[in-house]
Amino acid sequence: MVITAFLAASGFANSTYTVKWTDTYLEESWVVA
Amino acid sequence: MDNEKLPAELYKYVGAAIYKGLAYGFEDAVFGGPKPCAAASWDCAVEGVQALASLFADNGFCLKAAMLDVQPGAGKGGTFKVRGSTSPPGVGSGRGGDHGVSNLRPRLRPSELPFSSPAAQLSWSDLREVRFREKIKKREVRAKRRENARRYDTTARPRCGQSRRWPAAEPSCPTSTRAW
Repeated sequence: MVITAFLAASGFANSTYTVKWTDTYLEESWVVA
Repeated sequence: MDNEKLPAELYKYVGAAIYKGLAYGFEDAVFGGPKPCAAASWDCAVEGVQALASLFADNGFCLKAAMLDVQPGAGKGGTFKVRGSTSPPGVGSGRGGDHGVSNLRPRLRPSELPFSSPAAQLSWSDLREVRFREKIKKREVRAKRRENARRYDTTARPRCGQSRRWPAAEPSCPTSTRAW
């Protein structure tokens, strides 16, 4: 959500991401437009 | 008020508040996070996200964070991945070895919260209270402005019996309505 806020403040209004959780890491796959 | 909009709204609100603090400082801590790009450029966005990822790791919010598969798109945007490690290598049980991070999953993923859960109800309550206080504050500011305008407005024609500052400008009015 912090990255979303940064991108929105930087002029990228349409950024979406999907989240993948495992026991050891969290991975967010971003599409920025 | 639509309950289905709460998780996204809360997520946006909290994210903006945290980012603002990271970029410009909280009350008692300055993190020196990336400022917003002046214009929407892909290079600036990548640098900023990388800086945020490093900031999280350097301050202990995660053990490690990195950007992967950075691909500029046809326009000004593109795609990338951000991976944050939540467990030390070899201790990835998800319980006990991840410093309790797995216990935070429901709070980190509000879109998955059922609305009957106490956490979701608490969030509604918090958000409603914050907005209520903002509303009251705005109302007080408006009332104060109206009061100041009424008190210091020298262009308004005084009403009958109410001019104490310029009695000479007071219009004559029927004796029965004078406010002696």
